[in-house]
Amino acid sequence: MKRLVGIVLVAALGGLLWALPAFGPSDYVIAFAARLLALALLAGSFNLLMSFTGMVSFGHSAFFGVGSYAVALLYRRDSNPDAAWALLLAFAVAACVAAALAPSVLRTSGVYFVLLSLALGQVIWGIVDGWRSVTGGTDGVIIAAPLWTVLWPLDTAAATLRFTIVVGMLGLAMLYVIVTSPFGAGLTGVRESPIRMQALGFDVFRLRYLAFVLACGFAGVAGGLLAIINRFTSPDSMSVRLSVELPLIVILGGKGSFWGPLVAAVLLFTAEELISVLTPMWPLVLGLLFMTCVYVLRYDVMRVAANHHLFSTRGRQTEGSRADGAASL
Amino acid sequence: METAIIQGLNGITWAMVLFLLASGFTIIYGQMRIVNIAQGSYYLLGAYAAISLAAHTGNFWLAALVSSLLVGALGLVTEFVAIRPLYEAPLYQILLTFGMMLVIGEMAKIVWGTIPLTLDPPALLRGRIEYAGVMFTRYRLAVILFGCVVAVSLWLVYVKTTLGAVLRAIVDDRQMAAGLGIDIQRVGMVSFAAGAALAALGGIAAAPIIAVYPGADLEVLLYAFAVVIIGGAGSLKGAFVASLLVGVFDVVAKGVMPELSRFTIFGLMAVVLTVKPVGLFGRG
Repeated sequence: MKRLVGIVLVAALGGLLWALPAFGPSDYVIAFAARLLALALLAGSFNLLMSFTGMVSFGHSAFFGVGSYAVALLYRRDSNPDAAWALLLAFAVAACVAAALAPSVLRTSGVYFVLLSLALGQVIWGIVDGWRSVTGGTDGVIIAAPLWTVLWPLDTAAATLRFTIVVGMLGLAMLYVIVTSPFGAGLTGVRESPIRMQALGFDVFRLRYLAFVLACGFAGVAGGLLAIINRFTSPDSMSVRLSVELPLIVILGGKGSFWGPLVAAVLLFTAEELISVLTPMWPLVLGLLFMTCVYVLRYDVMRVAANHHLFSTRGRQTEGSRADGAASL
Repeated sequence: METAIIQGLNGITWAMVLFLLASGFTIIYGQMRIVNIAQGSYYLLGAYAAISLAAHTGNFWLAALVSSLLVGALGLVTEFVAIRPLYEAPLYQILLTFGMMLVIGEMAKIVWGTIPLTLDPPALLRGRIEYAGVMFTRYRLAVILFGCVVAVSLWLVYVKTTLGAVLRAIVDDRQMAAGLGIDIQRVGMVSFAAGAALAALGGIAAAPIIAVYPGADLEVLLYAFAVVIIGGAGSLKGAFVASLLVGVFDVVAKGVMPELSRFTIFGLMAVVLTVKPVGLFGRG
């Protein structure tokens, strides 16, 4: 029943977004709605790691950026393939980069995982920022090609938004299927107690590895979408700020919930957009937001009030597993 | 040959700056199990404050002393107000200190602007010295000397004093140390202040060599992470050895292939972690 309500709600939301251009908003608003959807997909992919596998990576935006560069650089060549193919490429490239780098990151745990994932994200950012001859450095890459898909040409903001809706909903649906599948149950087992999972005969490293690669692949698709929406990408797409915003989003939305973080992502990035228009000091506001949230929500960690979160439906942990979790991060 | 020696010395100078920064980080982590993302902000604040103080007083030494003490005091306050309510909640500590980094970074931008600033070295340390055909600036040599002095003093405190025994006990087993009657909260508070002051000293030492600018906090933080990962979190010896490795490696790599120099640091980290997942001198 609950699932049915969820599906109806999401379908209604998708329909509403689909109809948005009909209400005659400016292209800016349409593109902004599309960006929010791409960022929600990014948050969803990160949530697969944080909520459902128990891995808090601080370098996730790097793979978002890798996907956006994969798409942008593809179109900088003379080719002009279907945008859907470009997004598949974004998935593949981000997943491959993750697959190559994951072994050294996933071998570590606790503080080393935090430091290494953050450092890894910064290193990827540094390479993209520094490797001017290929990536254009800080200037970024502009997509000049007239984009198209087999469905319709992406010649207007509305067409791009609708393409984003199709891809975004598909991506989120796939993430939902992953999370609720037996594989997802295995990941939850890894989150709750890696040792017990190992004792049950599961290959914990392999589960973590697959989750990491998949999550990074979806982040790549989200990044590719962003590049297509903006017709542009720059090293800002893989900023450490974005990487650290993601765990904040998951905490705000409710760790363990699938939908909560998506809503939180939409709220946070909308706030970012609105405040950035008013003042160049968004980082200051964000910093204060970080500190406030930590104080307001810290009781959850101390198990005083578990119902602080919006939408927290799943992932209520037992006391023992909380202790495990605290030890693993 | 001369260039190689100068590059090596440059690397060691950079290594000493990294050591000051990373030793602060590793002391805080060792004593309190806190990942302090704001460590780079203390570096930034130390450098900026010293630049302002030096501009007002005209005295480098006074500026350096007061600036590091100020940042140390800020660390003390931060620990008491912000960090203490979040013990045993590592993720929240990281998010909190990240928020602090954003706030401090923006504040610094308001106060000191976005133009890169440098600090004039003191009169005593201006100019170069030449030995066997190698020219090297006095100031850099002084930074190397200072880094070594700090390293030796820290080592002496850790190994030769009662305070050091307490500190090592906390690194090894917090609960047991607390059970033995050690006030780990007070030690943690002092450690946090000391760690912040060390980072500030790093910033001050670096300010005459490399400019300070918004974003430098994050940049040096990456290096501190590399040092801590390679050396082993919580280990001072590891921080020293890894600083030398990272510092020299970084300067050489920047000379050979500037575009991909960051990747070489990651390569170094990956190699070390493959051999020893807890760093060279880390313990579990």
